[in-house]
This record gives sequence, C-alpha cells and structure tokens, in this order.
Amino acid sequence: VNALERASRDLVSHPVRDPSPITVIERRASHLRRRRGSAIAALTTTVVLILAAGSVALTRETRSTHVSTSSPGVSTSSLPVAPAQSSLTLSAGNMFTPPTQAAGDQTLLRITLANGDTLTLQYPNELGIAGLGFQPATGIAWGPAGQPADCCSRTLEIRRGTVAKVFPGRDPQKAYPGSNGKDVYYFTGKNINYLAFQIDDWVVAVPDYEATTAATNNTPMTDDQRATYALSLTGRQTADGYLVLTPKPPLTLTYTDSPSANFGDGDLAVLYRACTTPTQPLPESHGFSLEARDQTPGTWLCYSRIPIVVHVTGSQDFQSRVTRELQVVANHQSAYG
Amino acid sequence: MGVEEPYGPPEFEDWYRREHPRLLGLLVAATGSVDIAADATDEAFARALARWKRVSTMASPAGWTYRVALNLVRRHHKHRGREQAIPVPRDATSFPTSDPAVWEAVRNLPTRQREAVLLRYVADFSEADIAAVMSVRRGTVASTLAAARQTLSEQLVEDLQEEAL
Repeated sequence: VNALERASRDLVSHPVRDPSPITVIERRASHLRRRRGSAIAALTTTVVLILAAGSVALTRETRSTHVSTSSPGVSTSSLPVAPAQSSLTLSAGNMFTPPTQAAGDQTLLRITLANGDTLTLQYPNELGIAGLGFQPATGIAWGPAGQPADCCSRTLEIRRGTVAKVFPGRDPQKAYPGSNGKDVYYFTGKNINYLAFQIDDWVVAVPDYEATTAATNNTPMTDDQRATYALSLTGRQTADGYLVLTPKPPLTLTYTDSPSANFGDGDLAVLYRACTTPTQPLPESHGFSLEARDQTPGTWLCYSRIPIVVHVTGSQDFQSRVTRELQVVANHQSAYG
Repeated sequence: MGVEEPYGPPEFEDWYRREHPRLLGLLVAATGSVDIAADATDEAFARALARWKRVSTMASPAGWTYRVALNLVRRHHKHRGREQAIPVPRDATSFPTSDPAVWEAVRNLPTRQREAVLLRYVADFSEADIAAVMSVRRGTVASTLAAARQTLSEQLVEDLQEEAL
C-alpha cells in the first residue's frame, strides 16, 4: 500500500502531459453538441421520455378518430426520417427550457407536444429535467385514404431558433408562400433537401429525399407537393413557449415510433407506444415497469396507466432516480386528424 | 424560456485544470499509453463541458467524468481485444514513476480490481465515490480493494524475491 501511495503521488505530482488548452476542450464539446443535435435531428438513438399511445391506429381510416388509451397494443407508424449521414444537417438551434411550477421539493413540468397533447411530469427539484432543454417531434401523414402510403409522409425535425440559425451559411434554393404570410424556404443538399417553416420561435424542417429501403420507398416531393406542404403545414406557439402544429388537409398529424418529446442530449425521451417486450414491475417506482431493450443503452420504462414509454440515459444515478422518482400526474391527448 | 449557454463557464476551467492531472495519471496507469489516456481525458472533459449545466450540479462531477473516461478506455480496449493485456510502458519519459513495478503489478490485476485501485490511490476517491463511479455497492468496493491489495502484495513480494536471487 505504501508503494502504491508513493507511486500514485509521483504520477499526479509529475503529470505526464500538460492539460490541453481549454480551447481544445471547448472545440470538442462544441462538436459533441453539434453531433448530438444531428442525432436528435435524425431521431435515432436518444434518451427520451416515451409516451406510448398504443391504441392510436395509424391507418388512414382511423387517423380522423380521437386517440383512445383503452386498448394499448396497436403500434405507431414508421414514417421516413432524414438519413443520419447527410450533406445537409441541421444545427442544434437554441435550447428551450420550459417553464415549471414549484411544489415544495417537487417540480411540476407540464409539457405540450407538437400535436397538442399535454403531459405533466412531477419529479424532485434536483433532477432538473426541464433544465435539460426540451425538443418536440411529430409525424405528418399526407392525403386521404387510398393514396400511396409514402408519398409525402414525414417525421419532422423541429428546432428552437431561426431558419438562418438552423441552416447556417445556407441559401435557400426556392421560397414557397406559406399560410401565415411568411415564406417557406427550400434548402437543397447532396442527399437531402428540407422545407423550412418559421413558426414564431420554432423552425419546423420537413426532410425531403429519395430513399428506397425495406421499410420505405420514398421519393422526393414534386414542386406542387412542396407548395401544398407550404400552404398546409401551420402552427402556433403557446403562451408558455411550446410549438403546436395544426396542419390542414391533405396533411394530418400522426404519432411515430420516434420520440414525441426529447429532453437534453437524449437524457430523457417520451414516446407514444405500448410496451413491446415483457416487463418487470418496479415496486419502488410511480407506476412504471421495466422494458427490455437489449440493443439500446439506457433504461426503458413503461407507464402502466397510459401507454407511455420513457427512455432514460445519462448517468446511472440519473437513470435510477428517474426510475424511482418520476411521476406522470396528468395526461391529455388531443385528437388527430 | 431558455437560451443556449455559452461554452466554458469560468468555474469549469478551474475545475478542469485541477482535475486533469489526476484523471490523466489514472488513465495512463490504466492504459499504459499516454496518447490513449490523453485522448480519453480530453474527450471525457469535453463531454462534461457539453453537459456542464447538469454535470456541475451532480454530487461528484469528477466521478461522472472518471466514469465516462473509464468507459471510453474500456471501449477502446474491447475494440482491440486487448482487455487482458494492457501494456505499461517502462520508458520514464512517457510514464514517469518512481516505481514501475507497482504499475506493472496493477496492470496485471483483473479489470475491476485495477479500476478500483486506480480510483482509490490515483484519484484519491473514497470508497463511496468509487462505488458510484463503478456502479457497485460500497461493500463490493471494499472487498475488491482488499483482494487487489492482497494480490499486489503477493506480486510485489515475489518480484522482490526474484530480484534478490
């Protein structure tokens, strides 16, 4: 032990290398944030609170009906998302810290999703979930029943900020008239294009690209379809700063199998879907069970009273505390279609 | 309504300069490579900075950063299939230590014991902090350290006996 203590003192008191300049660390941190933003943009693996409204049927026949939570198990849809590797990626934008309400040592956080659903979370103040920053996401389906399924349905990418900030250094190729009197810009890249809407403090980006995979057979929109999108995708910002989209036909909102709400750098995410694997009850938690997701890091929690799945990453301590202490105290699902 | 915070709050830089030698030393001892250790150290601090708003409020920001760094190193070795054979350079310029035999012996410990020893003696963490970093119970840390000390003791005595011969 003495030899170990002596050797350790030597090692620390005679550092093998000077610390890298702080600018190097800042640059790497900046890169990490950008990469994180791209990952969120692609809506791939993140930590999210997942609210699963399993009973939402995503077929066109049921899109006009109200969401029901009485029969969880019906899955959500896989709409095309922007490819992760793209020559045109969105910046992370600004962080939106939603307002909270104090209740003693607890925080009440009422979040409004892009489809108008609201969800109130309760957690100990020190968990600081609101402070991680909130980013919504949603899917848009196109057209009445009977049309080809994948014409223009998309998983939207939503950022806080301005179009100029989210598409830094880019000039739009074209502008389409939007429904709110503002132009909707069309940015093109090598592999992917975006329609970009500015709705108050939010930027809604609609990815447009060609992708033929087992899951999708996606072709870029025509000019007419882009013009229709520009006129039909509308929305507003709520008094407390959230974005709510209110598209007009032929567009309708839909849940997807991607997170509906993201906090932080994938620290917490919410999806509307039912549990897909056997669960293990969590006696100490507030209505959550564990869901086995072997291929994905983090903790997956199924909420038992409404079909919600919460995905938590970050430190083990954060995951444990969320598992034990997060509560869903209210939920209101608005109608789709 | 939040606005993205600028990078590099002043308290981060102070903390970074204070913690850097310890984490780098720990990783050099863990990996045997100054380059790998320096890269993992920078990456861990960059991740801490990218999430500084949250990390700074944790009970142990250093513990979080050390865990990130050790995970990076583990991943690095797994990718190269070197988990059981981490070389510790004997070149004093790359790994200055008064007693390379100690680190040689530490290198030969099982991964968990090696990490517990480094966190205890190089990082100067308490058993409770080590438990948090390694995501194990405190009692497990105590028994792991005891086993490591026993192994090291036997190994170093053997070395001394061999040298005497």
